[in-house]
Amino acid sequence: MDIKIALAGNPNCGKTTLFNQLTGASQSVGNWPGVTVEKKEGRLKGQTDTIIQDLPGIYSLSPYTPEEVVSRSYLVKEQPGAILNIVDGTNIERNLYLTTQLMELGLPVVVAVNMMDLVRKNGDRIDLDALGSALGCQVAGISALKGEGGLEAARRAVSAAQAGKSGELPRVFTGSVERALAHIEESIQGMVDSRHLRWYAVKLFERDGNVLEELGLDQELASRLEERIASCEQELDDDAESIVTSQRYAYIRRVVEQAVTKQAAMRSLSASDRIDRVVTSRILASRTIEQDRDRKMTVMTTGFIPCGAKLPIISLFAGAVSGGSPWVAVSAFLTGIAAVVLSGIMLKKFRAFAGEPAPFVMELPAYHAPSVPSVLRATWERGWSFIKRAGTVILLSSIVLWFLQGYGFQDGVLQAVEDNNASLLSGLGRSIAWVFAPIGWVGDMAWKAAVATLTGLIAKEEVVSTLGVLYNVSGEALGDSGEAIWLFVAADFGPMTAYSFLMSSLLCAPCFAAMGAIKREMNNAKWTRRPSAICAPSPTPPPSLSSSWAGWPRARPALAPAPSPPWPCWRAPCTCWPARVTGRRPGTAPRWLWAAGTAPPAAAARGGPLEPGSPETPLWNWKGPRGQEDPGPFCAMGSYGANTGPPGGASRRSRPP
Amino acid sequence: MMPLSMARTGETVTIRKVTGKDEVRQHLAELGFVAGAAVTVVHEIAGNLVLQVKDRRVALDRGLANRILI
Repeated sequence: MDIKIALAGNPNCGKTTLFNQLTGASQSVGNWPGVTVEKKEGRLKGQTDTIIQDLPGIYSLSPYTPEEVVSRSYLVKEQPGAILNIVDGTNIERNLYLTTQLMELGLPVVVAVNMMDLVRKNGDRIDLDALGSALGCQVAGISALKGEGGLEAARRAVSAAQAGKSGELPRVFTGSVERALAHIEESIQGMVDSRHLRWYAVKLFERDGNVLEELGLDQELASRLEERIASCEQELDDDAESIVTSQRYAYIRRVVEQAVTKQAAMRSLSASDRIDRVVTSRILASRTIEQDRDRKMTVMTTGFIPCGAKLPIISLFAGAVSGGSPWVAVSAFLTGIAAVVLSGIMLKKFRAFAGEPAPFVMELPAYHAPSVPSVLRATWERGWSFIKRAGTVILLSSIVLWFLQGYGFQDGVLQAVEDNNASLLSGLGRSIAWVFAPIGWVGDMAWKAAVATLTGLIAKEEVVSTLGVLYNVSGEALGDSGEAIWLFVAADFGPMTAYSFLMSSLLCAPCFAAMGAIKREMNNAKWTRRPSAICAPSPTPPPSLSSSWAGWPRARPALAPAPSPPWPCWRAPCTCWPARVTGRRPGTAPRWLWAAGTAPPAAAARGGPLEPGSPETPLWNWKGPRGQEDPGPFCAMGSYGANTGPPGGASRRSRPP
Repeated sequence: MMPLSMARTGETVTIRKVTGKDEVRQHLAELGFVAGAAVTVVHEIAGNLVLQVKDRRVALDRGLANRILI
């Protein structure tokens, strides 16, 4: 009885070279029946009872090309004694894809890693033993071109065929896919050769037309399997074929990580390659920004970025109070960056920003050198928009400020005042200055700093110009000489107060223009309030916190009134930040809700997890507008986890029965 | 058949099949990823690909590239 060894491998993996080497002149060439695909077979040199069957070069065993069809029908129908799978060692990930499919056939497989000489030359290392134990089959290293190891690999295949035992199936599939496959295997047991069970199961899972036709499953079984496959698809949100493909690659990546050490690619790049690499890697690196939640996060954190308009504030205080110390500016910028990073990390923890990354696809434009007119036009547009701002918003508000600080009620009459501490603006400032007392703004500077913070909302440039107006008591033109204002500022602000003011300016709500941009980006005003709430954590007093609960997003009433003031001011940022970002008090909302007067759901009684879609959950998926289909008073129990949703209609709570 | 993510840089390949949910497939088809189309891999970074398809360049991440079989 002749032993048949099938040679299988990707195109250009050196299969034909090895075939020639193994068989020498004893080849016969024909066609596979019905197709114009070449069929070659020959006898192994020195072992004439061994037939080597060369299969066409294929990437997989799917039914889409004639090569693949003849290969798989040969392997399944003719049942060679063993498969000698040739793998290109320099491109092992791609080649192992076919290997995982060959293993599923249940025939003895010997993997011959070809081009080992090239692998060594590249400085890579393939641990053949580790590869063998990971794949669950014999692995030999060969170099078909140099004639190394080919015969040895063939002999191993022959002895594997004689032993007739296939190795243990590698654990390619995981989780629900593996369970579905096991289910399919169980259902079709007895209908197919037990060795090919896994192969048929995978093909049925993929809804392979040829296999479905071949097996001719009865109606009931087919619909049962279809149901199973569909539920798997739904769970993994992908079609069966893609699920199988991606699990195969995940498996291959694990195997390759174990067995292959790759030298970092050292090839020299041309200049255009390098440009392209920089450009495209930036695009791909920022790809996640495409995604909605990441975009929202980016937009929300931009408020902390020390923009150009904040620079005058930094330089004013660095010069006036800190004697020009370079550390002021450095610390200001580092604080801004740290705030962006920290808020990003914190935002990621919240449900609104958590989730799976979406698939990314983007069309890249062709790169052109910009034309001179378009550069000039762009420059002009930006320059002009600044001039308009300076000439309108900033000028107008400076005039208003000047009026407000120059006039006041004296002796019951509105008139010009000598001392702007008696002005209208001073009165306004003092009425809100108490808000800032916790961060050390006390005394005469308090109302000026408060006013400057307010005008900073119009535009950050306003902060310095406001201080300029406010300290311009002697009528000097402060704009001409920066140093003049320094004296006044230094006299009024102590170093710590000045730094506190600086930090608050940097981290407080962005200007109205930026808030408008955020609103545009978010298409929703509610997001705008979040960064501003975050931005002004330390100066925010508890009263405004509790008022913010009313009318919090999604038109949902507050879960509970905020704790009553006064709080130690340092606690405000810690607690109000996450609370305001999520719109709920952390960790105190109920995990289970059910209508009062009815029995609690069984899962709630068990304390079990929330089952999506189970009939026990509807209360908190209740999305109707207020007043409509109101489910009535709720009972609540426990607290919800990070991944479970907030109670949609948790407006009223009572104690559990 | 193998996923597009396995193609080498500089290689020109022919798409045989695009798998995935209808909307994904539709979107890819609109970009020129249809069966029979020739695709050149311009660049590859960590499994993410920059591809030349029908005279335009498209960046795809690994997950999407796995759906396109060549």
